[in-house]
Amino acid sequence: MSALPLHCTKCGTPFPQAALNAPDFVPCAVCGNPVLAMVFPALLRPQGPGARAENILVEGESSCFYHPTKKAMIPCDGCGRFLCTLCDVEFGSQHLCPVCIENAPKKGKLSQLEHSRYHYDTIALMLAAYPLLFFIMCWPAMVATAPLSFYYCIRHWNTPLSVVPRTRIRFVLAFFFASLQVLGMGMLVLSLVLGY
Amino acid sequence: MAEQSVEYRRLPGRMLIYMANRQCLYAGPDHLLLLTTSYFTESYKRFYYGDIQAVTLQKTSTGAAWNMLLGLSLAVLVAAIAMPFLFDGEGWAVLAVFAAIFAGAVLAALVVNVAKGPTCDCYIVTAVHQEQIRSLGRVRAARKALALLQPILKTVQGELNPDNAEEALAAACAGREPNAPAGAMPAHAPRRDSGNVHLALFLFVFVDAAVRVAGILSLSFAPYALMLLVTLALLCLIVAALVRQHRNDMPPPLRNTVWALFIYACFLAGVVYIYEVMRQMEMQLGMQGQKLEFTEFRQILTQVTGVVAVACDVILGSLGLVFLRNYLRFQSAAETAAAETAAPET
Repeated sequence: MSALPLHCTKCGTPFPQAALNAPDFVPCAVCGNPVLAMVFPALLRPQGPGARAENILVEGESSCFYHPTKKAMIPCDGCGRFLCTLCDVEFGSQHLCPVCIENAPKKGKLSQLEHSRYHYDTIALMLAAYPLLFFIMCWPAMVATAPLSFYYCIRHWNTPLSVVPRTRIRFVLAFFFASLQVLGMGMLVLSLVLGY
Repeated sequence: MAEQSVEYRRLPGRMLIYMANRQCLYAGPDHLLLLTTSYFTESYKRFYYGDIQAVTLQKTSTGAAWNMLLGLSLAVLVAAIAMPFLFDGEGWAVLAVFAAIFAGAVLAALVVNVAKGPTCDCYIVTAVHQEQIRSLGRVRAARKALALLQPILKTVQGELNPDNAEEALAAACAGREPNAPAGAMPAHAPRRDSGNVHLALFLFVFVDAAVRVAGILSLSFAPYALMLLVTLALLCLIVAALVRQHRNDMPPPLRNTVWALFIYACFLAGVVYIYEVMRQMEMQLGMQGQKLEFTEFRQILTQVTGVVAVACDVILGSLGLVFLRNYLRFQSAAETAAAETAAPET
C-alpha cells in the first residue's frame, strides 16, 4: 500500500476514485482542478517488512564482514567480502556490499548508479564561441580560451559524454572555432612582427 | 562490476526550467531516466518500472495565464503602435518603432504557447516518493508519453485486477491504510483557514478604491505617492493571501478572486511603469531642449486607469467578501455538524 496517497497537489485532497485510469480529466472534489491518475499494480503491492540478519549460533560459522555477530549469507560480487542479509544489496543480477555500491559511481562502474556527468563538449564549445559572440568585450580572453578549448577537445574526446545518445559535434565545432581564433591571433602576431 | 551500456529512447516533452536548465524523460530497458541538464552538468534520476505505482496529471492554469498576460501585453503594444496616428509629436513615432519590435516577440511567444496547448503538472508516484516531471508540463506531451509508457509498465507489472483492486484503490483515494476504519482522516487532509488574511485583503481593496476616487476628484490628500503606496500594500496583501490559500480547503471562486486581484494588481503596476517611462522620457528630452508631448496622453491614461481600477476594486472586493462569508459559514456549519456527531459518542 502506498505511503503517499494520490492527492491533489493544489489543495491536498485525495483524488476522486473516478479519476483513476479514467480516459479524461476529472475535477478535484475540493478545488475543482482537473486531475487524472494512471495507477499500476505496484500501488496495491503490500510492502513487506525489511530483511533481518540471522545471529551466529554455532561457533566458527562464517560471519558478515560488517557485522561480526551476524551470519554470512552471500559474498559480494564486487569485493568478495562475506555479507549478511542486512548488508546484501541486490542490484540487477549482482549482490553487492554498501561500500561497493558507494564506490561504483566514483570508479565509473555500474552506469545505473551514476547520478551526474559533465558536458566537456559544451564547456569546450562555450570557451571557443563566447569570445566570438561577444567579440568587442571578450577578444583579449581569446588568448586563454582558445588553448583551453583545444585542451578540453583533446583531453576529453574519449570521455563518455552522456548516458543518453549524444554526438561529438560540439567538440568538432569547438575545435573549428578555436582553430579560427588561433589562426587569427597568429596572423596578427605575424603582421606585427613583419611590420605589415 | 562491468559497466553496462543502456539504450534509451527519448519520450515526448522537453521543458526549459530557467536559463540553461532543461529536463527530459527517457525510457530505458528497465527504468525511466529523468535527465536534468544544468549549464555544463547533467544529473539523472531513475525510476524502475516495477516501482512506479502511479502517474498523475493535474491541469494547471499556467498556460492560460501566460496567454492572458501575453495577450494583454500585445494589446498594450498594439495601442502604442497606433499612437502616432492618434497624437502628434516625434516621440510617438520612436515609441511605435520600439513597440513594434516588442510586439513581434510577444506575438511569437503567444503563438508558440497556444500551439503547445494546455499545461499540467505530471508526477511519478512510487512507494517512497512523488517526483514532479517538469518535461511533461503540457497535456498533449504528457498524454503521448503516457501512451508510450503504459504498455511497458503493463508488461513489467501486469494488468490491474479490477475485482480485488476496488477496495484498495478506494483506500488509496481516501489516503488511509486499507485496514484503517472508513471514517479515519486522510493523511493529506486539506488545511482549514481562518480567512483573516483574505478578509484584510478584501477590506483593503475598498480602501484602495476610496484613495483612487479621491485621486480622480483631485483631492489634496490623495497624491500620486499615496496611490503608489496603497498599490504596493495591496500587492503585499495579495501575495500573503495567495500563500495562505495554498493547499487549504477554500472553494475555487474565492481562490480565483484572489488570482483576479493579482492580475489586476499586475495591470496597475504595468500602467504605473508606462506612466513613469513617459514622464522620464519627457524630463530627459526636456533637459536636452527637445519637446515631447505625452502630457495629454498621460492625463487620459490616469483618468481611464482610475475609473477601471475603482470598478475592479468594488467588483472584486464585493465578490471576495461574499465568497469569504459563504466559506466561513460552510466551515462553521461543518464544525457544528462534526461536534454534534462526536457528542453522542462521548
